[in-house]
Amino acid sequence: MSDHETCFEDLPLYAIGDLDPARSRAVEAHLTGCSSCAAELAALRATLEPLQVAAARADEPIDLVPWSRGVASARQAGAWPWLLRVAALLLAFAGGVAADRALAPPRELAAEHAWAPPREADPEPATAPPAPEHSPPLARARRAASGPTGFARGLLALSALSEDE
Amino acid sequence: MRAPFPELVERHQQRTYRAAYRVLGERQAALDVTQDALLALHRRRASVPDERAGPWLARVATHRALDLVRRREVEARARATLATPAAASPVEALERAEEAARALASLAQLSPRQREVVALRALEGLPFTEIAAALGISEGATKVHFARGLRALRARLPGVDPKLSGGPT
Repeated sequence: MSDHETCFEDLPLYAIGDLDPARSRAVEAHLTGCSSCAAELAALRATLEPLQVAAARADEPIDLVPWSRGVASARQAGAWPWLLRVAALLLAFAGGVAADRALAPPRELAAEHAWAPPREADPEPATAPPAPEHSPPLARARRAASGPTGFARGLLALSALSEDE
Repeated sequence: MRAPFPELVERHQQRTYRAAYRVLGERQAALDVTQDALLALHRRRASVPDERAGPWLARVATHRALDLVRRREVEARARATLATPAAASPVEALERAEEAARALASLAQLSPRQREVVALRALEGLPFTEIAAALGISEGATKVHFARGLRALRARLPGVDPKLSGGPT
């Protein structure tokens, strides 16, 4: 690389004052006899000048410390939703168990279902019939009771809460 | 041991605000950017060591402020209201303010890395060693980004002979 090329490459760092002393001396020696490098340096300095005008801008001091205390305490308060989630999980679990007990089919009916032999000609063996729009409340409650257990409901409740985040 | 968040804010708020204000020249916009940067620090306390928080905040504030300029949301206001030091007359002050606004708008158009390095060095006055540490790159690479960024900026400014931006002849 010629002196000229080396000087040209060094000019941006020279213009901002960050070129090391030895190379700065070489640049200065080259600049005395090279009008194109001198013009390039002038252009780079002209480019930096408006940025230095902006850099010199100053304004009155600010005070965000009171605001930051609010941010920090909001962060601590952010622990409460987790406690509420745990409470919601426990409530959902307890509610599920209570619903199981209240809505479970009578013992003899449950036994009949448990021991009934499979029907030979079931018209729709794979799928259960869709629930009617206005089924009696007891039937709906029994369907609900045959769904997830109380514990499973608790887990579902927790996952629903987690999805809120 | 990490310092409490309000303590970090007290330590770095003026520097962060200045970084935003230099680019935006407008108090409310600079204050918004400062709060954004501090909130970002609050969310990332685990990954930003306290001793690196100052340069990190300056970097985030500069980046966000230039992003606003790039989207031209504050350019007009900044041009109209910015304080320009050491101007001989109101006319000169306005001219210099407009030059600064144009230069910042051009700076905002550079590639993200060049923009960041030129802003942190020329606007914030951070040494290359600190910029390199803040960006997680070598000091040599930082200087290369600066040189290329300054030349790209120079080619964008009016009144510059484009032939001179091509390299040595």
